[in-house]
Amino acid sequence: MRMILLLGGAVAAVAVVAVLVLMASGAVWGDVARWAVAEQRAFQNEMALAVHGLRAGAPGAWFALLAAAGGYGFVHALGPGHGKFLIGGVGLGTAVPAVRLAAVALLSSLAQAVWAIILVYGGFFLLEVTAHQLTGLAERYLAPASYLAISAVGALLVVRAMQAFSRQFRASGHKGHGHAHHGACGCGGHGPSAHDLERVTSLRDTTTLILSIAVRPCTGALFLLVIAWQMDIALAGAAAVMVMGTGTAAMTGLVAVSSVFARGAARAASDSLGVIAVAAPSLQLVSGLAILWFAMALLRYGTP
Amino acid sequence: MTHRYGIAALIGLASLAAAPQVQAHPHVFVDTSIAFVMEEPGALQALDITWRFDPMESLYILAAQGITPSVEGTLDAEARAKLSESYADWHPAFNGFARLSLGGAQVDLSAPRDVEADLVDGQLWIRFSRALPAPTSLHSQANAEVAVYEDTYFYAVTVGEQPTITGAGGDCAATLTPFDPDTQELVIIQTTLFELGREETPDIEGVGALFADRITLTCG
Repeated sequence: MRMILLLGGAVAAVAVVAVLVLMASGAVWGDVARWAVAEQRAFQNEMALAVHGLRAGAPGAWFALLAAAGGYGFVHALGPGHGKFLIGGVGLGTAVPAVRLAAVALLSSLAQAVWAIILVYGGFFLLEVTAHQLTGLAERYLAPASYLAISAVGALLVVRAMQAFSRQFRASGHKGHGHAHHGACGCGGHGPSAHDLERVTSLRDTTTLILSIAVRPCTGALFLLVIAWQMDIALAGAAAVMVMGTGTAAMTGLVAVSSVFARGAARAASDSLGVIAVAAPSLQLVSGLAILWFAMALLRYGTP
Repeated sequence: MTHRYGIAALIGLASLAAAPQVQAHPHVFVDTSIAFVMEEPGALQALDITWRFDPMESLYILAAQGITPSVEGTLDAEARAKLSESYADWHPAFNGFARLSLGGAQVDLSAPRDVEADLVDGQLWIRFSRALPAPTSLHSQANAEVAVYEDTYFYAVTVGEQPTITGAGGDCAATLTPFDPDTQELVIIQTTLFELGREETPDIEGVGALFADRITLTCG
Protein backbone atom coordinates (compact mmCIF):
# COMPACT_ATOMS: atom_id res chain seq x y z
CA MET A 1 0.00 0.00 0.00
CA ARG A 2 2.79 2.42 0.86
CA MET A 3 4.28 1.55 -2.47
CA ILE A 4 1.16 2.64 -4.31
CA LEU A 5 0.97 5.86 -2.32
CA LEU A 6 4.60 6.60 -2.97
CA LEU A 7 4.21 5.78 -6.62
CA GLY A 8 1.14 7.95 -7.01
CA GLY A 9 2.80 10.75 -5.11
CA ALA A 10 5.89 10.66 -7.29
CA VAL A 11 3.87 10.71 -10.49
CA ALA A 12 1.68 13.54 -9.20
CA ALA A 13 4.69 15.58 -8.06
CA VAL A 14 6.45 15.13 -11.39
CA ALA A 15 3.29 16.06 -13.28
CA VAL A 16 2.68 19.17 -11.19
CA VAL A 17 6.25 20.39 -11.60
CA ALA A 18 6.06 19.73 -15.35
CA VAL A 19 2.82 21.69 -15.71
CA LEU A 20 4.09 24.58 -13.58
CA VAL A 21 7.31 24.81 -15.56
CA LEU A 22 5.35 24.55 -18.77
CA MET A 23 3.30 27.57 -17.82
CA ALA A 24 6.21 29.59 -16.47
CA SER A 25 8.56 28.89 -19.35
CA GLY A 26 6.41 30.76 -21.88
CA ALA A 27 8.15 34.11 -21.51
CA VAL A 28 11.68 32.70 -21.46
CA TRP A 29 10.98 30.45 -24.40
CA GLY A 30 9.52 33.42 -26.28
CA ASP A 31 12.86 35.23 -25.96
CA VAL A 32 14.82 32.20 -27.12
CA ALA A 33 12.47 31.69 -30.05
CA ARG A 34 12.72 35.34 -31.07
CA TRP A 35 16.51 35.16 -30.95
CA ALA A 36 16.50 31.92 -32.96
CA VAL A 37 14.21 33.42 -35.60
CA ALA A 38 16.44 36.49 -35.96
CA GLU A 39 19.58 34.34 -36.25
CA GLN A 40 17.88 32.04 -38.71
CA ARG A 41 16.92 35.01 -40.84
CA ALA A 42 20.49 36.34 -40.81
CA PHE A 43 21.96 32.97 -41.82
CA GLN A 44 19.30 32.61 -44.50
CA ASN A 45 20.26 35.97 -45.96
CA GLU A 46 23.93 34.97 -45.94
CA MET A 47 23.11 31.73 -47.74
CA ALA A 48 21.17 33.62 -50.41
CA LEU A 49 24.03 36.09 -50.78
CA ALA A 50 26.50 33.21 -51.13
CA VAL A 51 24.33 31.62 -53.84
CA HIS A 52 24.55 34.83 -55.86
CA GLY A 53 28.27 34.98 -55.10
CA LEU A 54 28.81 31.40 -56.27
CA ARG A 55 27.11 32.11 -59.57
CA ALA A 56 29.15 35.26 -60.06
CA GLY A 57 32.32 33.30 -59.24
CA ALA A 58 33.09 35.40 -56.17
CA PRO A 59 36.06 34.13 -54.15
CA GLY A 60 35.10 32.61 -50.83
CA ALA A 61 31.48 32.07 -51.84
CA TRP A 62 31.75 28.30 -51.29
CA PHE A 63 33.04 28.80 -47.79
CA ALA A 64 30.43 31.47 -47.08
CA LEU A 65 27.63 29.15 -48.19
CA LEU A 66 28.84 26.22 -46.08
CA ALA A 67 29.41 28.40 -43.01
CA ALA A 68 25.97 30.02 -43.27
CA ALA A 69 24.31 26.63 -43.84
CA GLY A 70 25.98 25.18 -40.74
CA GLY A 71 24.88 28.14 -38.63
CA TYR A 72 21.38 27.93 -40.05
CA GLY A 73 21.14 24.24 -39.19
CA PHE A 74 22.23 24.91 -35.62
CA VAL A 75 19.75 27.69 -34.82
CA HIS A 76 17.00 26.11 -36.88
CA ALA A 77 17.17 23.05 -34.65
CA LEU A 78 16.01 25.28 -31.78
CA GLY A 79 12.66 25.56 -33.48
CA PRO A 80 9.97 22.93 -33.30
CA GLY A 81 9.53 20.07 -35.73
CA HIS A 82 12.97 18.60 -35.32
CA GLY A 83 14.18 15.54 -33.55
CA LYS A 84 15.56 17.47 -30.61
CA PHE A 85 12.63 16.96 -28.27
CA LEU A 86 12.40 13.31 -29.19
CA ILE A 87 16.12 12.84 -28.53
CA GLY A 88 15.81 14.77 -25.27
CA GLY A 89 12.81 12.75 -24.16
CA VAL A 90 14.50 9.45 -24.90
CA GLY A 91 17.65 10.65 -23.12
CA LEU A 92 15.62 11.49 -20.02
CA GLY A 93 13.36 8.51 -20.09
CA THR A 94 15.62 5.60 -20.98
CA ALA A 95 19.00 4.22 -20.01
CA VAL A 96 20.60 5.08 -23.34
CA PRO A 97 24.27 6.14 -22.97
CA ALA A 98 25.14 9.75 -23.91
CA VAL A 99 27.56 8.76 -26.67
CA ARG A 100 24.99 6.48 -28.29
CA LEU A 101 22.30 9.14 -28.13
CA ALA A 102 24.66 11.80 -29.54
CA ALA A 103 25.46 9.38 -32.38
CA VAL A 104 21.74 8.95 -32.98
CA ALA A 105 21.45 12.76 -33.13
CA LEU A 106 24.26 12.98 -35.70
CA LEU A 107 23.08 10.04 -37.81
CA SER A 108 19.48 11.20 -37.87
CA SER A 109 20.45 14.72 -38.97
CA LEU A 110 22.77 13.42 -41.68
CA ALA A 111 20.15 10.89 -42.83
CA GLN A 112 17.66 13.73 -42.93
CA ALA A 113 20.04 15.72 -45.15
CA VAL A 114 20.73 12.80 -47.49
CA TRP A 115 17.01 12.09 -47.75
CA ALA A 116 16.38 15.75 -48.68
CA ILE A 117 19.02 15.55 -51.42
CA ILE A 118 17.57 12.30 -52.79
CA LEU A 119 14.06 13.76 -52.75
CA VAL A 120 14.86 17.04 -54.48
CA TYR A 121 17.57 16.07 -56.95
CA GLY A 122 16.03 12.66 -57.59
CA GLY A 123 12.61 14.24 -58.02
CA PHE A 124 13.89 16.86 -60.44
CA PHE A 125 16.18 14.52 -62.36
CA LEU A 126 14.08 11.37 -62.60
CA LEU A 127 10.49 12.43 -62.17
CA GLU A 128 10.54 16.04 -63.37
CA VAL A 129 8.34 17.10 -60.50
CA THR A 130 7.86 20.77 -59.65
CA ALA A 131 9.24 22.54 -56.60
CA HIS A 132 5.71 22.97 -55.24
CA GLN A 133 5.01 19.26 -55.57
CA LEU A 134 8.20 18.51 -53.64
CA THR A 135 7.52 20.86 -50.74
CA GLY A 136 3.88 19.73 -50.80
CA LEU A 137 4.98 16.11 -50.46
CA ALA A 138 7.21 17.01 -47.52
CA GLU A 139 4.57 19.04 -45.72
CA ARG A 140 1.51 16.95 -46.47
CA TYR A 141 2.85 13.40 -46.17
CA LEU A 142 6.37 13.20 -44.79
CA ALA A 143 5.84 15.58 -41.86
CA PRO A 144 2.77 13.72 -40.56
CA ALA A 145 4.58 10.41 -41.13
CA SER A 146 7.44 11.66 -38.99
CA TYR A 147 5.10 12.90 -36.24
CA LEU A 148 3.28 9.57 -36.22
CA ALA A 149 6.58 7.71 -35.89
CA ILE A 150 7.61 10.09 -33.10
CA SER A 151 4.31 9.55 -31.27
CA ALA A 152 4.94 5.83 -31.55
CA VAL A 153 8.26 6.27 -29.75
CA GLY A 154 6.46 8.32 -27.08
CA ALA A 155 3.76 5.67 -26.73
CA LEU A 156 6.45 2.99 -26.43
CA LEU A 157 8.03 4.86 -23.52
CA VAL A 158 4.65 5.22 -21.82
CA VAL A 159 3.84 1.53 -22.27
CA ARG A 160 7.21 0.47 -20.88
CA ALA A 161 6.84 2.80 -17.91
CA MET A 162 3.40 1.30 -17.23
CA GLN A 163 4.84 -2.21 -17.44
CA ALA A 164 7.54 -1.24 -14.96
CA PHE A 165 4.93 0.23 -12.61
CA SER A 166 2.70 -2.80 -12.77
CA ARG A 167 5.63 -5.14 -12.13
CA GLN A 168 6.55 -3.09 -9.06
CA PHE A 169 2.95 -3.10 -7.98
CA ARG A 170 2.81 -6.90 -8.18
CA ALA A 171 6.21 -7.24 -6.53
CA SER A 172 5.26 -5.01 -3.61
CA GLY A 173 1.87 -6.71 -3.35
CA HIS A 174 3.56 -10.09 -3.06
CA LYS A 175 5.92 -8.82 -0.41
CA GLY A 176 3.00 -7.33 1.42
CA HIS A 177 1.58 -10.82 1.89
CA GLY A 178 4.74 -12.74 2.63
CA HIS A 179 6.90 -10.31 4.57
CA ALA A 180 4.73 -7.47 5.72
CA HIS A 181 7.61 -5.75 7.50
CA HIS A 182 9.48 -5.38 4.22
CA GLY A 183 6.79 -3.27 2.67
CA ALA A 184 9.11 -0.50 1.54
CA CYS A 185 12.03 -2.66 0.50
CA GLY A 186 11.04 -2.85 -3.13
CA CYS A 187 12.74 0.50 -3.53
CA GLY A 188 16.31 -0.83 -3.49
CA GLY A 189 18.98 -0.12 -6.06
CA HIS A 190 17.91 -2.84 -8.49
CA GLY A 191 14.74 -1.36 -9.96
CA PRO A 192 12.90 -4.01 -11.93
CA SER A 193 12.51 -1.45 -14.69
CA ALA A 194 16.22 -1.20 -15.40
CA HIS A 195 16.14 -4.02 -17.90
CA ASP A 196 13.06 -2.53 -19.49
CA LEU A 197 14.75 0.83 -19.89
CA GLU A 198 17.79 -0.73 -21.51
CA ARG A 199 15.60 -2.22 -24.18
CA VAL A 200 15.15 1.10 -25.93
CA THR A 201 18.87 1.11 -26.68
CA SER A 202 18.62 -1.91 -28.96
CA LEU A 203 19.57 -1.62 -32.62
CA ARG A 204 15.95 -1.81 -33.72
CA ASP A 205 14.92 1.02 -31.41
CA THR A 206 17.90 3.11 -32.49
CA THR A 207 16.99 2.67 -36.13
CA THR A 208 13.36 3.61 -35.43
CA LEU A 209 14.54 6.77 -33.67
CA ILE A 210 16.79 7.77 -36.57
CA LEU A 211 14.20 7.08 -39.25
CA SER A 212 11.35 8.80 -37.43
CA ILE A 213 13.43 11.98 -37.43
CA ALA A 214 14.99 11.59 -40.88
CA VAL A 215 11.81 10.83 -42.84
CA ARG A 216 10.72 14.43 -42.60
CA PRO A 217 13.27 16.63 -44.42
CA CYS A 218 13.94 20.12 -43.10
CA THR A 219 12.11 22.75 -45.16
CA GLY A 220 15.18 24.99 -45.20
CA ALA A 221 17.20 22.18 -46.80
CA LEU A 222 14.50 21.53 -49.42
CA PHE A 223 14.37 25.20 -50.36
CA LEU A 224 18.14 25.48 -50.67
CA LEU A 225 18.27 22.36 -52.85
CA VAL A 226 15.48 23.58 -55.12
CA ILE A 227 17.36 26.86 -55.52
CA ALA A 228 20.72 25.15 -56.09
CA TRP A 229 19.25 22.87 -58.78
CA GLN A 230 17.65 25.76 -60.66
CA MET A 231 20.75 27.95 -60.34
CA ASP A 232 23.09 25.19 -61.59
CA ILE A 233 25.06 24.90 -58.37
CA ALA A 234 23.75 21.47 -57.41
CA LEU A 235 27.02 20.25 -55.88
CA ALA A 236 27.38 23.31 -53.65
CA GLY A 237 23.75 22.93 -52.63
CA ALA A 238 24.20 19.29 -51.61
CA ALA A 239 27.39 20.09 -49.70
CA ALA A 240 25.65 22.97 -47.91
CA VAL A 241 22.72 20.75 -46.92
CA MET A 242 25.10 18.15 -45.43
CA VAL A 243 26.81 20.89 -43.41
CA MET A 244 23.36 22.15 -42.40
CA GLY A 245 22.60 18.65 -41.10
CA THR A 246 25.83 18.70 -39.10
CA GLY A 247 24.78 22.03 -37.57
CA THR A 248 21.42 20.55 -36.61
CA ALA A 249 23.22 17.53 -35.17
CA ALA A 250 25.37 19.80 -33.02
CA MET A 251 22.26 21.31 -31.41
CA THR A 252 20.47 17.96 -31.10
CA GLY A 253 23.68 16.42 -29.75
CA LEU A 254 23.79 19.08 -27.00
CA VAL A 255 20.23 18.13 -26.07
CA ALA A 256 21.18 14.45 -26.15
CA VAL A 257 24.16 14.83 -23.82
CA SER A 258 22.40 17.18 -21.42
CA SER A 259 19.29 15.01 -21.23
CA VAL A 260 21.37 11.96 -20.35
CA PHE A 261 23.25 14.02 -17.76
CA ALA A 262 19.98 15.30 -16.33
CA ARG A 263 18.60 11.79 -16.12
CA GLY A 264 21.77 10.65 -14.32
CA ALA A 265 21.37 13.48 -11.83
CA ALA A 266 17.72 12.71 -11.29
CA ARG A 267 18.60 9.06 -10.78
CA ALA A 268 21.32 9.88 -8.28
CA ALA A 269 18.96 12.17 -6.40
CA SER A 270 16.16 9.62 -6.26
CA ASP A 271 18.67 6.93 -5.28
CA SER A 272 19.70 8.94 -2.25
CA LEU A 273 16.03 9.43 -1.42
CA GLY A 274 15.42 5.71 -1.88
CA VAL A 275 12.78 6.04 -4.58
CA ILE A 276 14.84 4.99 -7.59
CA ALA A 277 12.47 2.19 -8.61
CA VAL A 278 9.67 4.71 -8.86
CA ALA A 279 11.65 7.65 -10.17
CA ALA A 280 13.06 5.96 -13.26
CA PRO A 281 9.77 4.78 -14.71
CA SER A 282 8.14 8.08 -13.63
CA LEU A 283 10.67 10.02 -15.64
CA GLN A 284 10.12 7.64 -18.52
CA LEU A 285 6.36 8.07 -18.26
CA VAL A 286 6.59 11.86 -18.24
CA SER A 287 9.10 11.84 -21.13
CA GLY A 288 6.88 9.51 -23.12
CA LEU A 289 3.79 11.61 -22.47
CA ALA A 290 5.66 14.82 -23.37
CA ILE A 291 6.87 13.30 -26.64
CA LEU A 292 3.37 12.04 -27.42
CA TRP A 293 1.81 15.39 -26.64
CA PHE A 294 4.39 17.30 -28.68
CA ALA A 295 4.02 14.99 -31.69
CA MET A 296 0.25 15.28 -31.48
CA ALA A 297 0.50 19.08 -31.35
CA LEU A 298 2.72 19.01 -34.43
CA LEU A 299 0.34 16.67 -36.20
CA ARG A 300 -2.54 18.95 -35.36
CA TYR A 301 -0.94 22.25 -36.27
CA GLY A 302 1.68 21.17 -38.77
CA THR A 303 5.06 22.78 -39.13
CA PRO A 304 5.78 25.72 -41.35
CA MET B 1 21.38 19.15 -3.66
CA THR B 2 21.32 16.71 -6.53
CA HIS B 3 17.54 16.68 -6.82
CA ARG B 4 17.90 20.20 -8.18
CA TYR B 5 19.32 18.58 -11.29
CA GLY B 6 16.23 16.46 -11.45
CA ILE B 7 14.12 19.60 -11.41
CA ALA B 8 16.45 21.16 -13.99
CA ALA B 9 15.87 18.09 -16.15
CA LEU B 10 12.13 18.58 -15.84
CA ILE B 11 12.46 22.26 -16.68
CA GLY B 12 14.41 21.31 -19.79
CA LEU B 13 11.90 18.67 -20.78
CA ALA B 14 8.95 20.93 -20.09
CA SER B 15 10.36 23.79 -22.12
CA LEU B 16 10.92 21.41 -25.01
CA ALA B 17 7.36 20.24 -24.62
CA ALA B 18 6.15 23.83 -24.46
CA ALA B 19 7.63 24.57 -27.87
CA PRO B 20 4.45 24.11 -29.93
CA GLN B 21 3.52 27.64 -28.95
CA VAL B 22 6.13 28.92 -31.40
CA GLN B 23 4.60 26.98 -34.26
CA ALA B 24 3.34 30.15 -35.84
CA HIS B 25 6.74 31.81 -36.00
CA PRO B 26 7.50 33.35 -39.36
CA HIS B 27 9.54 31.71 -42.08
CA VAL B 28 9.28 34.31 -44.83
CA PHE B 29 10.00 37.98 -44.32
CA VAL B 30 8.32 40.58 -46.48
CA ASP B 31 9.17 44.25 -46.35
CA THR B 32 6.42 46.48 -47.70
CA SER B 33 5.89 50.11 -48.52
CA ILE B 34 2.53 51.74 -49.04
CA ALA B 35 1.48 54.91 -50.83
CA PHE B 36 -2.02 56.37 -50.56
CA VAL B 37 -3.33 57.52 -53.94
CA MET B 38 -5.57 60.58 -53.57
CA GLU B 39 -7.53 61.68 -56.61
CA GLU B 40 -8.72 64.95 -55.22
CA PRO B 41 -7.79 66.46 -51.87
CA GLY B 42 -8.89 64.15 -49.09
CA ALA B 43 -10.38 61.44 -51.34
CA LEU B 44 -8.68 58.07 -51.14
CA GLN B 45 -8.71 56.21 -54.43
CA ALA B 46 -6.21 53.37 -54.20
CA LEU B 47 -3.23 51.92 -52.40
CA ASP B 48 0.08 51.50 -54.22
CA ILE B 49 1.80 48.60 -52.54
CA THR B 50 5.34 47.23 -52.87
CA TRP B 51 6.45 43.90 -51.45
CA ARG B 52 10.10 43.05 -51.05
CA PHE B 53 10.76 39.38 -50.25
CA ASP B 54 13.75 38.32 -48.18
CA PRO B 55 16.72 37.11 -50.29
CA MET B 56 16.18 33.39 -49.64
CA GLU B 57 12.47 33.47 -50.42
CA SER B 58 13.25 35.58 -53.50
CA LEU B 59 15.58 32.87 -54.81
CA TYR B 60 13.04 30.17 -53.95
CA ILE B 61 10.19 31.96 -55.76
CA LEU B 62 12.40 32.32 -58.83
CA ALA B 63 13.55 28.69 -58.69
CA ALA B 64 10.01 27.41 -58.21
CA GLN B 65 8.96 29.28 -61.34
CA GLY B 66 11.93 27.97 -63.28
CA ILE B 67 13.54 31.41 -63.53
CA THR B 68 17.33 31.75 -63.36
CA PRO B 69 18.58 35.29 -62.89
CA SER B 70 21.63 36.52 -64.79
CA VAL B 71 25.02 36.02 -63.20
CA GLU B 72 24.84 39.69 -62.18
CA GLY B 73 21.57 38.94 -60.37
CA THR B 74 19.15 40.68 -62.74
CA LEU B 75 16.01 39.50 -64.53
CA ASP B 76 15.27 39.79 -68.24
CA ALA B 77 11.98 41.18 -69.58
CA GLU B 78 10.53 37.72 -70.10
CA ALA B 79 11.17 36.69 -66.49
CA ARG B 80 9.73 39.96 -65.18
CA ALA B 81 6.60 39.50 -67.29
CA LYS B 82 6.16 35.92 -66.06
CA LEU B 83 6.46 36.99 -62.44
CA SER B 84 4.12 39.97 -62.88
CA GLU B 85 1.53 37.68 -64.37
CA SER B 86 1.81 35.17 -61.55
CA TYR B 87 1.16 37.90 -58.97
CA ALA B 88 -1.85 39.39 -60.79
CA ASP B 89 -4.16 36.58 -59.76
CA TRP B 90 -4.86 35.91 -56.09
CA HIS B 91 -7.05 33.67 -54.10
CA PRO B 92 -9.88 35.93 -52.90
CA ALA B 93 -9.22 34.96 -49.28
CA PHE B 94 -5.68 36.35 -49.41
CA ASN B 95 -5.52 39.81 -47.88
CA GLY B 96 -2.51 40.87 -49.95
CA PHE B 97 -0.59 41.55 -46.71
CA ALA B 98 -2.58 44.80 -46.24
CA ARG B 99 -6.10 45.29 -44.92
CA LEU B 100 -7.77 48.66 -45.29
CA SER B 101 -10.48 49.88 -42.97
CA LEU B 102 -12.34 53.19 -42.98
CA GLY B 103 -13.71 54.27 -39.66
CA GLY B 104 -13.17 50.75 -38.39
CA ALA B 105 -15.12 49.09 -41.22
CA GLN B 106 -13.15 46.82 -43.52
CA VAL B 107 -13.00 47.84 -47.18
CA ASP B 108 -12.60 45.25 -49.94
CA LEU B 109 -9.91 46.37 -52.34
CA SER B 110 -9.80 45.45 -56.02
CA ALA B 111 -7.62 42.71 -57.44
CA PRO B 112 -4.05 43.92 -58.01
CA ARG B 113 -3.55 46.13 -61.07
CA ASP B 114 -0.46 47.22 -62.99
CA VAL B 115 1.64 44.49 -61.42
CA GLU B 116 5.40 44.87 -61.87
CA ALA B 117 8.20 42.58 -60.69
CA ASP B 118 11.96 42.88 -60.52
CA LEU B 119 14.99 41.54 -58.70
CA VAL B 120 17.05 44.27 -57.00
CA ASP B 121 20.06 43.49 -54.81
CA GLY B 122 18.96 39.88 -54.49
CA GLN B 123 15.44 40.79 -53.37
CA LEU B 124 12.34 40.19 -55.42
CA TRP B 125 10.09 43.25 -55.68
CA ILE B 126 6.41 43.07 -56.55
CA ARG B 127 4.62 46.39 -57.10
CA PHE B 128 0.91 46.83 -57.77
CA SER B 129 -2.09 49.00 -57.13
CA ARG B 130 -5.38 48.11 -55.43
CA ALA B 131 -8.36 50.43 -55.82
CA LEU B 132 -11.17 51.21 -53.39
CA PRO B 133 -14.68 50.43 -54.70
CA ALA B 134 -15.06 54.20 -55.16
CA PRO B 135 -12.93 57.21 -54.21
CA THR B 136 -13.84 57.96 -50.63
CA SER B 137 -13.54 61.31 -48.92
CA LEU B 138 -11.76 61.00 -45.65
CA HIS B 139 -13.09 64.36 -44.48
CA SER B 140 -16.51 62.89 -43.86
CA GLN B 141 -15.14 59.59 -42.58
CA ALA B 142 -13.15 58.64 -39.58
CA ASN B 143 -9.53 57.73 -40.21
CA ALA B 144 -8.31 55.23 -42.75
CA GLU B 145 -6.15 52.48 -41.31
CA VAL B 146 -4.00 49.95 -43.13
CA ALA B 147 -2.95 46.92 -41.11
CA VAL B 148 0.00 45.13 -42.67
CA TYR B 149 0.17 41.42 -41.86
CA GLU B 150 -0.46 37.91 -43.10
CA ASP B 151 -3.15 35.87 -41.37
CA THR B 152 -1.14 32.85 -40.30
CA TYR B 153 2.12 34.69 -39.50
CA PHE B 154 3.95 32.26 -41.77
CA TYR B 155 4.98 35.50 -43.45
CA ALA B 156 6.29 38.22 -41.17
CA VAL B 157 5.23 41.33 -43.01
CA THR B 158 6.62 44.68 -41.95
CA VAL B 159 6.47 48.24 -43.23
CA GLY B 160 10.02 49.30 -44.01
CA GLU B 161 9.47 52.85 -45.19
CA GLN B 162 7.42 55.80 -44.07
CA PRO B 163 4.07 55.78 -45.91
CA THR B 164 3.62 58.41 -48.62
CA ILE B 165 0.71 60.18 -50.29
CA THR B 166 0.58 60.31 -54.08
CA GLY B 167 -1.48 63.02 -55.78
CA ALA B 168 -3.62 65.50 -53.92
CA GLY B 169 -2.56 64.98 -50.34
CA GLY B 170 -4.11 68.23 -49.17
CA ASP B 171 -4.29 68.36 -45.42
CA CYS B 172 -3.91 64.58 -45.01
CA ALA B 173 -1.08 62.93 -43.14
CA ALA B 174 -0.03 59.29 -42.86
CA THR B 175 1.51 57.92 -39.67
CA LEU B 176 3.27 54.60 -39.26
CA THR B 177 2.90 52.70 -35.98
CA PRO B 178 5.22 49.69 -36.12
CA PHE B 179 4.39 46.61 -34.08
CA ASP B 180 6.18 46.92 -30.77
CA PRO B 181 7.21 43.50 -29.49
CA ASP B 182 7.98 44.85 -26.02
CA THR B 183 4.49 45.94 -25.13
CA GLN B 184 1.74 44.14 -23.32
CA GLU B 185 0.67 42.96 -26.76
CA LEU B 186 3.47 40.40 -26.84
CA VAL B 187 2.12 38.79 -23.70
CA ILE B 188 -1.32 38.58 -25.31
CA ILE B 189 0.18 37.07 -28.44
CA GLN B 190 2.16 34.47 -26.60
CA THR B 191 -0.83 33.58 -24.50
CA THR B 192 -2.92 33.35 -27.64
CA LEU B 193 -0.48 31.05 -29.40
CA PHE B 194 0.04 29.07 -26.23
CA GLU B 195 -3.68 28.50 -25.87
CA LEU B 196 -3.96 27.56 -29.51
CA GLY B 197 -1.53 24.76 -28.83
CA ARG B 198 -2.94 23.57 -25.55
CA GLU B 199 -6.67 23.97 -25.83
CA GLU B 200 -6.82 23.08 -29.50
CA THR B 201 -8.81 26.17 -30.34
CA PRO B 202 -9.55 25.61 -34.02
CA ASP B 203 -9.63 29.30 -34.86
CA ILE B 204 -5.97 30.03 -35.57
CA GLU B 205 -7.01 32.38 -38.38
CA GLY B 206 -5.95 35.97 -38.19
CA VAL B 207 -3.29 35.42 -35.52
CA GLY B 208 -0.93 37.41 -37.76
CA ALA B 209 -3.04 40.55 -37.21
CA LEU B 210 -1.67 40.70 -33.68
CA PHE B 211 1.79 41.35 -35.15
CA ALA B 212 0.63 44.01 -37.61
CA ASP B 213 2.37 47.26 -38.42
CA ARG B 214 -0.34 49.89 -38.77
CA ILE B 215 -0.59 53.02 -40.88
CA THR B 216 -3.17 55.67 -40.11
CA LEU B 217 -4.23 58.29 -42.62
CA THR B 218 -5.98 61.34 -41.20
CA CYS B 219 -7.29 64.36 -43.07
CA GLY B 220 -8.24 67.78 -41.83
